[in-house]
Amino acid sequence: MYKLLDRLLARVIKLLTLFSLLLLAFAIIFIFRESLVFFQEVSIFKFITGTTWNPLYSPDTLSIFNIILGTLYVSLIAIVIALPIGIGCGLLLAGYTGGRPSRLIRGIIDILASIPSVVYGFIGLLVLVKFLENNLAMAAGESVLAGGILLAVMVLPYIISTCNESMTKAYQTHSPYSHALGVSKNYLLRKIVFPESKRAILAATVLALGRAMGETMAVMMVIGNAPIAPKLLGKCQTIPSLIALEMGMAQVGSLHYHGLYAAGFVLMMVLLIINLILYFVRKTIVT
Amino acid sequence: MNVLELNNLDAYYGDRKILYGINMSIKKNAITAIIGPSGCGKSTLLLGLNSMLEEYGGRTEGQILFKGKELSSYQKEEIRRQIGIVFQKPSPFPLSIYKNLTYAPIYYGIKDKGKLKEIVETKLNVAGLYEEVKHNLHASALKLSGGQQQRLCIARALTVEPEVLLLDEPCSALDIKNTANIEQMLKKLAQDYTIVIVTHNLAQAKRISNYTAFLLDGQLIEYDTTAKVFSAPNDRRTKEYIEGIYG
Repeated sequence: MYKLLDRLLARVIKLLTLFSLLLLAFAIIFIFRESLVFFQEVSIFKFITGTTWNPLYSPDTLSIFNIILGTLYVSLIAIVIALPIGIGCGLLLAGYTGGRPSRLIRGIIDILASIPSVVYGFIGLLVLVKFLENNLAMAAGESVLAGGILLAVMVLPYIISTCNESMTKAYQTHSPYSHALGVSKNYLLRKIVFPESKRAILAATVLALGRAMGETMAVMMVIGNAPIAPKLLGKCQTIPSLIALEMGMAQVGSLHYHGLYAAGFVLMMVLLIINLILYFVRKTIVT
Repeated sequence: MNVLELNNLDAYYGDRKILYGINMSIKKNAITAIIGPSGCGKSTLLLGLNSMLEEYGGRTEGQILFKGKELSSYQKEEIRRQIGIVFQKPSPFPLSIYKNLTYAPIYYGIKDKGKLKEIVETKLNVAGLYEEVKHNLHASALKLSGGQQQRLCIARALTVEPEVLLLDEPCSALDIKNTANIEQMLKKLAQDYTIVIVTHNLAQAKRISNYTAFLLDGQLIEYDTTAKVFSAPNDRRTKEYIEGIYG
């Protein structure tokens, strides 16, 4: 009887696993099919390298180079801001606060991750954009910088929790032996815990980059959404916000409509490539 | 001459009392073995000697004198520097062999490459490991065998030039050959260092130590020269333990 149940359970688990794999394949195939229509009209090379996005004109003016740049720029700024803060926070929680306070602080940080992105967008619009307008003498505060800062706050919890786990483990494993030599915590964190966490830091970067590049709502509210070449204090456009903004306006079946799918396909490929590169980088880090 | 003197020392983990009024003095440049059945407080006593007990959430009451001065009057860093400890489980850092040994000296301000190299070589030699690893000093210490790792840990403890070396069952995870290596090394080390070793291996205590302390249920039952403790113990319980009646 139990044997039968075991076999049944194994089957079900296998099916469920297969199902989730199929979901991924389905998503890729779906996007690819929808964008294929577009790529038959406009070459993919032109689509990626061209700099004008003007859906009302001929197919020649549908290209997203600036928008890809905008997506990467905003996300990179977010990582540059969030990574040092996240690593510092992870080290602090691993080495200095210990047990209960650590868990409490991590709980609070995790709540940060559960705030809806629209709410972040509001805060960004009311606080961040206003602040930039008032203090940096900008005509409009909506900018790459605003998007980057906002995204940094949003990805911070992911970075902290991914780093902290491995840092806490490394700290707990090695602290008695390090203390036995009379060496300070600070030195232990710098010489052993930090290097031991390189993989986790890289993993956190990938995770955060994925989150940042895919984030739509909050970013859309603070970057100004202009498909021009991105500058730090100027407006820009990202792929997710482009799709979200224009999908409702595009006529179903039109080239514009399929162009948005194509943009989504490009975003997915960029993320896939970044993930792959970091996967191989990660493998080369010996611990 | 006594390096460490314990007067009426109690030790606690939380509310649980582990050691009861221990009085003993540890002689300079000798090997003192602490024996006793599992859970009798041997390791707690050892950890108390360089304030490592606090790191594990315990505390001591009573007096410990180190070179005639109250232990608590020293900086914690200073105590740990002068009283090194090697744990039961080999515990190298996830660094190269070389960096394991320079970890503490660099912290204490030694920057000169030549000096560091000299420390690494002498300490590895003392630990009898140099010949085995001299061609791959920059390989990961985690790739060494258990016995080599433990000798590395002893070498590492010596890099800060302690006066006393505490060892908590350093051979319990090792095979006979590695154990013999370490015992031989400890005997040599006793010329320059004061060694306190916790062991549940009676034969080992008999082989290497000059003095032996027998602990039972947190009390010091007997403390004398090893020859005396093993041949003509004063206490019936010591005799029973040594003859293998319990423990």
